[in-house]
Amino acid sequence: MRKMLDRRTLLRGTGVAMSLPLLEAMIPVGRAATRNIKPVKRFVCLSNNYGVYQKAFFPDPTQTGKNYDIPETLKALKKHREDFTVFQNLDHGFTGGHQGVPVLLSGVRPVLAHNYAEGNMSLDQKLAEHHGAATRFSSLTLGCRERNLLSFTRTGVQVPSIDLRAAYRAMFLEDSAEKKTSSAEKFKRHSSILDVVQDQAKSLNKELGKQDQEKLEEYFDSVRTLEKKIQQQEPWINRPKPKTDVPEPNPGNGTAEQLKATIEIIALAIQTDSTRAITLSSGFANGDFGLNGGYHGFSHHGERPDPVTALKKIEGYQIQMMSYLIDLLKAQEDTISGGTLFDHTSILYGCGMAAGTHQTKNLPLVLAGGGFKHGEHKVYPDHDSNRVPAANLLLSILQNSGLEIDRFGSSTGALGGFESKA
Amino acid sequence: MKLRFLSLVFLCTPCGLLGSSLEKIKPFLENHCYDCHGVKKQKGDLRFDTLGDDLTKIENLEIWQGVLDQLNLGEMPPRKAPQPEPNDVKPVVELLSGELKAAYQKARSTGGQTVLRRLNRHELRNTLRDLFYLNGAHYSPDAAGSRLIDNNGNGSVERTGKDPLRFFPEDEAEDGFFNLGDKLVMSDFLLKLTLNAVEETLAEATHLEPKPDVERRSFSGHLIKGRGGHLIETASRELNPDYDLMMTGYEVQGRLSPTDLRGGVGVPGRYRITIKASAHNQNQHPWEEITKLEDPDPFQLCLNIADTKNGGLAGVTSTPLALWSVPSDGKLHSFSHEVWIDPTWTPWIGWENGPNSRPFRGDGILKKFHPELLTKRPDKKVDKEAHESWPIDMAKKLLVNGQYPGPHLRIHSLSLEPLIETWPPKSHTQLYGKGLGQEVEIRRLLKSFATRAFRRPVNEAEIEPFIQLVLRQQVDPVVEMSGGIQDLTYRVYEGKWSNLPKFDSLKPIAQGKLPRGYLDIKAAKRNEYFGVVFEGKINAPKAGEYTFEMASDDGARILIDGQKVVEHDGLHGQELRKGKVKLEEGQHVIRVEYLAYGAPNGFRAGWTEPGSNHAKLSVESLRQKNNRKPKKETLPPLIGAMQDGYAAILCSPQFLYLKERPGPLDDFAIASRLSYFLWSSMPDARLLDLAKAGKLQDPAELDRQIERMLKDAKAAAFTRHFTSAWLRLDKLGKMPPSGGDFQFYKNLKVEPILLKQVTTYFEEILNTNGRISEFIDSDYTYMNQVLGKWIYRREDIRGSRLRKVKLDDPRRGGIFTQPGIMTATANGVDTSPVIRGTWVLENILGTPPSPPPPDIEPLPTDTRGAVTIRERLDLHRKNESCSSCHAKIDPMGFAFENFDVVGRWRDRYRGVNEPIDTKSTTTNGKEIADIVDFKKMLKEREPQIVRCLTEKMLIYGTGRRLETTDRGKINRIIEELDKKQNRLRDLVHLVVKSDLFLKK
Repeated sequence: MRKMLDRRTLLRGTGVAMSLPLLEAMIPVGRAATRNIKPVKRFVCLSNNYGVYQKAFFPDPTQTGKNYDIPETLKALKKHREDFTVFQNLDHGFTGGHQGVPVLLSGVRPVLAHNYAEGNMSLDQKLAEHHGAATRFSSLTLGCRERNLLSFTRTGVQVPSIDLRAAYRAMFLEDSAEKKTSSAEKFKRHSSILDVVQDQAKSLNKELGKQDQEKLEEYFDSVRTLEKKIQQQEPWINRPKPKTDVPEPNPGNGTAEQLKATIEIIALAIQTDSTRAITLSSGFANGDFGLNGGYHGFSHHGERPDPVTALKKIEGYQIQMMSYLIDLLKAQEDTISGGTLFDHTSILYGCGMAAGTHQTKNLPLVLAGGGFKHGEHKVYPDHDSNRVPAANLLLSILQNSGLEIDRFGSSTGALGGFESKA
Repeated sequence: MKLRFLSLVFLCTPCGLLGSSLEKIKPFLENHCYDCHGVKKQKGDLRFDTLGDDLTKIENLEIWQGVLDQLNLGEMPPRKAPQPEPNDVKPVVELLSGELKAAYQKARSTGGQTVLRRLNRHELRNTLRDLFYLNGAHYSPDAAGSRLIDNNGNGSVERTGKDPLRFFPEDEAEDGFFNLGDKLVMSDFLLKLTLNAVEETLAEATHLEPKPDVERRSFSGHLIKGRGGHLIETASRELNPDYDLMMTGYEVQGRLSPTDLRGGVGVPGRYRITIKASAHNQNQHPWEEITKLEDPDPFQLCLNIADTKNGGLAGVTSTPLALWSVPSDGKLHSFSHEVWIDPTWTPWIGWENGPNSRPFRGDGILKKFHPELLTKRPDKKVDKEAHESWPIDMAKKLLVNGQYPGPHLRIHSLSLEPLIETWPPKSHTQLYGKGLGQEVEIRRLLKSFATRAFRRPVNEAEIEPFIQLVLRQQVDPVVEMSGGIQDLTYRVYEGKWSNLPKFDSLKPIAQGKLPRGYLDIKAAKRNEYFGVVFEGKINAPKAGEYTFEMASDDGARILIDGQKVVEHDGLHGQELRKGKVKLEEGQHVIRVEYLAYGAPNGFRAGWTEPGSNHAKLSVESLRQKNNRKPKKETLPPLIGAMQDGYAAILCSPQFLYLKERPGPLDDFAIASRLSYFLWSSMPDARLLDLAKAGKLQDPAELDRQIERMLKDAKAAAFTRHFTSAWLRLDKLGKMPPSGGDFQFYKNLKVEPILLKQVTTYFEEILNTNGRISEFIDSDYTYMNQVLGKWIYRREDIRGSRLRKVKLDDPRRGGIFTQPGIMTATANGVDTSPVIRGTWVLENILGTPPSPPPPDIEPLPTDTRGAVTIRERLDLHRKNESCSSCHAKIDPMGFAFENFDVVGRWRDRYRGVNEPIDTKSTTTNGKEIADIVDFKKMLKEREPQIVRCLTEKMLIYGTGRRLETTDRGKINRIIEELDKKQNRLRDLVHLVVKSDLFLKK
């Protein structure tokens, strides 16, 4: 049983006290449930840019189903055993080493994007479109000592990442009155400029050939979308931001510290319903974990013991942080949909390049939460002719998030043998 | 290894009729595949008997690609089924590969036309620069801002700086080209960034502040105040009041800039920098090898500028401006250079070819050469002062009669003379004219701006919406306010007040008039503990609510007509305070009371009214000091409205895209193609005039313009961006070497130097119309001290400027083995002959290899055993399906194996410590022993290299891929080029005058 939370006590549990206006978030759970409203789902992707040391990451392929030994790198997830799934033999079906990294969340390489209706749009951006103006930020793209290469809009534009401090400020620090006025005026000004531009450019269209017209259509699309986004964002200017007594994070020196702080910010972002689609890439700085060298250098380990140990440490910590995020979300009630936040948040750990050897077969993919039936090690066929595209998992996540679609990126269908809880 | 469905130039593949030839495969499929993928069964949901052969459909293409992949891998038919003969498979694979390749090519063909082309990031930046007549260093083609830089190496990217496009993501590219019309995409995100960038640029171009008060600043005697720099130099300064001693190069110490300009010059603008210097004792070497100048050349003095807020004198922003020879005659010589300097930038000078500073320790030299003069350092506890001054005392003993006896330069003065011709600057007046707010002026200004922005004449109708956007807002004229105060008097009082006293009841100790009309606390002629009362009259140009602003240290108030308007009493720092008052048109009495407690003190004030510019009331201007642009909302309405009009023009597709009509280009389209080709920017007035006169169809005129344009500084953009596209320098920095042995790469900021080396080499060949074969091999290259020491292992190169260096080593000449290329073709950790071989085939020879089958796993990299890359590749080539391509690729890469991931020479692999074997045999049986042999082979293939370069330049110039149908026109260029020995500048001329360039 859970009771409806009052606005002020919400989130106090983990040091968050906020006063929210009456938003969707405040709809009493009972009502939401009885009206059979679909739960609001969130998505978090935790990633790196160099894949994993596979031998320590994957369970024994013969131990499928519930009974498998948790491998070395994943041991931090042991306590959540029933709440995550490890997949084997899913990938996007091509080689290309590092070029696989930006493909993780779509299965579509940028160079082939024009063959797909939605280009190489990434999963988080698809969700961002879906949720639109329901949250202050349609998505959050974070980097922790690493470039985040995961997020692409439907026109193939990479969404740049911000660091945790910028994310914190954007989500929780109230803008000055002056800044708000200035933002509102800017929106107004930009709307009127776009109006004029759109009108004025129509004359141009008539003079152009077919190819050029298609190009120009892309421009008109951009104008219309930007106008729409301005309309969506405008009301948020004067809505108060959620308050938190978590202090502004200090980007510490080590990756360990910084990644932990970033995970906490992600949990806060979900708690406060500031956004529903988050991606994070985490890296390594020389000296972290007492290691000397570079992440990329380690990933070219050639089975030498030192870099292999280093990789296991780095990846093990990333998994530990995934486990920490699960802890944080399990501890929080979901004030919109009932249950805990974890029940309605899919957390995907993965990388579009499988290993530092530039291999792209058998991507490391671990999914937790989101209301799926978890607890298993799922091994898909490894023979070339009947491999299952990793994009099928992406489609399953999207369907689970309430999108009524039957294709996403390079998917061929939802992932077989992997279902949501009733 | 990477997959390249979309490799660049497939000129040899005919775009044959698709479909029909796939019929030839059907019998094979019928024999081997239909059983499982036919009428009866459709394993994996695949059915081939009904599979369409129209490859323009993506679903068909995907399945056919799958068929090819399975055949390549030998995975299908399954092992238990009867296997086809290899001789049966081969033609099927070949045919299918060819058809698919053609289909992919067709899928991205633009029919030989350039598609409506969006200005890419650097083109937009340069265009804004030229459109607004801006000069800042952040617009330089070499500005570090052209790529986001990761200064501290922790992955958080620096987006500071003033580049208005600093937030733009990298543009869509194909094979290193960032300017292909059909590839470049617009999105709402990019449009939003464009709007913001445009508004930021408009603010930068707008100057409502009063004319900056800059006087000539001269620093003579000593540029450096106090101690600092080398000990011997410090010692010399103490004994010689007339000059700064410069006795070493500037690698470690020796970058000399005026202490007073350490925060930058403060006021942006063009300056003339003048330096007076003398050179001494070139051939006197009192301490033998220590001060011997290896360089027989005259002393070279270099002038540079650097951003003090971004890395400082030795940081990445440091840019060389001039290099002067100073004759070693001991006489005073004067050198001048004119340049635009941004507020936070500062000039510095150094001795370009000065000796290394490392061995110069005063006591060290004494010990070695004059042990009799050396005294023991006093104990710190006994005599602290003597202990601390001992190093300098020792250094002083090296001076003979106070003069440094070795080779040195003396810097006697540096002066900065502002060259502000007009105010407000052209960037402002072209936008707002006289600011009268009359419709006729607004129309005229917007039309002339749109003409330049659209790069062609505009008609009234198409710009009317922009004009209406301005006119429907409030457009009262901007009122010129005179800054000065009439009949300004002052009275000075003495006292230690912590609050403003009743001055009128006190007796002034001095009084007078300030005829310039600006409040000036220096009139009190004392530093602290005083008060001043100013009185005078100001003229309100019209009735309205006026804002008065002031920043005072300490207490002050402003009274207008006896009424307090701004009050900031007490002791405090210079915080900005504002107050408003309604005034009638005409004269008003202004009274300002001010008190100064302990030093330092200061007072600045100004006033403004909506619709008018900010005018200063004090000698020092408020706006100038904090140097911030007023916010958009506080601009006079006319200015704001006009900015909206301009922003709309700059967000319109006519500005953002290069539009051309199919067929022969008109003169204006030619002007734009030409200027975006050679300048990556808009055509200048001369080009537009020629277009208007219809002269750009004339080949002779084109030749003249190309020469004029290549001589312009803006042509650096061509060198920078074309070289990058041709040699794939966009890969540089994607995976930089780091850590361990490569720490120097980051610490010494080597990457920009590598880039500069390649572009300098290209530029020199371009400027001298050198032969294209010089790219293959040469007996010279360019290096500076850092490259010399860290890459080429030479100790004899001085200074940070790249200079031409004669090479005795045949392995090092040419452009293809330069460290920039070697780094771009490695991944920061390993080198691979496959990657470098593919790079040669794609970019130098123009024969890209076929992509590997998609399921090929990368080479195993278990390096515990002594397995070198060669052994691994040998194994790889034994595999039938790999061998045909790798037989072509690998020999093009092995010769480079002697160059490590940053291009340093090596004879053995690190780690495995195995000798490097660079031998290989090309497909036509030619043996290549090493890089020297390899270059010989490339020289024999010069025609092929010339063709590849020509094609790349055409793609860059036209903004589209080449198609099979272009072949004849390319051949004509190559034939012409060959008549005059294949020279680079000739190629630029031929490309421009070709049909491909002059037609859409």
